Amino acid sequence: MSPLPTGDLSLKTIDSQTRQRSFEQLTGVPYGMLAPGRADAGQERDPLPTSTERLRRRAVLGALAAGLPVLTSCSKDKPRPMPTPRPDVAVLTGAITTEQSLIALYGAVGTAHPALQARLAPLLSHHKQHLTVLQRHYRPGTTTGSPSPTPSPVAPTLPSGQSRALAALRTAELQAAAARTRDLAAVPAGLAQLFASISTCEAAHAALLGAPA
Amino acid sequence: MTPVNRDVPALQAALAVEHAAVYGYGLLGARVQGGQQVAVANVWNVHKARRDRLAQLITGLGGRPVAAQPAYKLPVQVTSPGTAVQLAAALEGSLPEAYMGLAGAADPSLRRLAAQAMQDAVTRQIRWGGHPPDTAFPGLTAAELAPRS
Repeated sequence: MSPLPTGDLSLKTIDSQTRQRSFEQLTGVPYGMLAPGRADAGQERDPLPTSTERLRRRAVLGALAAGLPVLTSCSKDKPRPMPTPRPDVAVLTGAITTEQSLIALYGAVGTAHPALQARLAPLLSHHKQHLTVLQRHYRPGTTTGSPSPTPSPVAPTLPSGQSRALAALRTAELQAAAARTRDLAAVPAGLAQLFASISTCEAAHAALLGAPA
Repeated sequence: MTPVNRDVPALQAALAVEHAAVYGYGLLGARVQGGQQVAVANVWNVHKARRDRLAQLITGLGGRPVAAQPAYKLPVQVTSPGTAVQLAAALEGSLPEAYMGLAGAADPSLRRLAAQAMQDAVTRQIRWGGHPPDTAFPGLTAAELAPRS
């Protein structure tokens, strides 16, 4: 088998097809047509990939999937030339941990302040979706395991009072967005796009949490 | 022919939408009143600076920056201070998707520029009173997230 085409995981050109490829690498779901009326709509190409492109995407996805568990599985096979451990494994673990911590923090705030639960529910839902997609990357192909998020057992300490609890959430959101922004350089292009999207969601949460209810 | 850097198309996509934002803020700025005039002027300047920076980056990478259109079809018709602010929110809402290509650029500094622009855009969108992105994955459309049928 040829070596993993790690270098090819980066985007070559950023047209809609490449975004599509990159997105499908990430989520395993097809990339739909962009909403009409965008400024770049004229440049959009046929949203349905050719079979060749599908194959190429699958090959790249396979490379990404094969690359991730390297840290745990390779130590047994001494004779094989050791693939370089991918730095994005640790980065991905960090992103998963962040989401688990945020989910735990939202849970703790909701328990301490039931009146906030309705306001916080959509934000918590976003984090659960982030976690699901990130975990899909970490263990690609393991569809039998429970994908349900298991927040880390660390009980977050909450400041007393509703407004301080909201401020704590806001700070955590901003820290998460900053962390994913810092991580952008350490991951393949497709994962960088997912991180950018998640960080954007977290920035939006911070703005919402900073606004009056 | 000089080879054009592979990040140029993503920079062009972002620039095209910054051109539209600069146009839109210029138009809506005439409709807002009081303290919002200052706020709009400040954001207008932010978009002009981003536009200029993107154009500069494209030129530096051997590309020719896309030019602004003479006019843009805007998502909100501005007839009042209220609709002016709605347009501002809508313009910001269009930015994350436009920057998404750049978030996957080969150059990590461009990825960070894109992510920061996306984060700033949603923050302003909410401050203008716009609806927050109705998705956990801004910049990636709902259709993109739909399961394969």
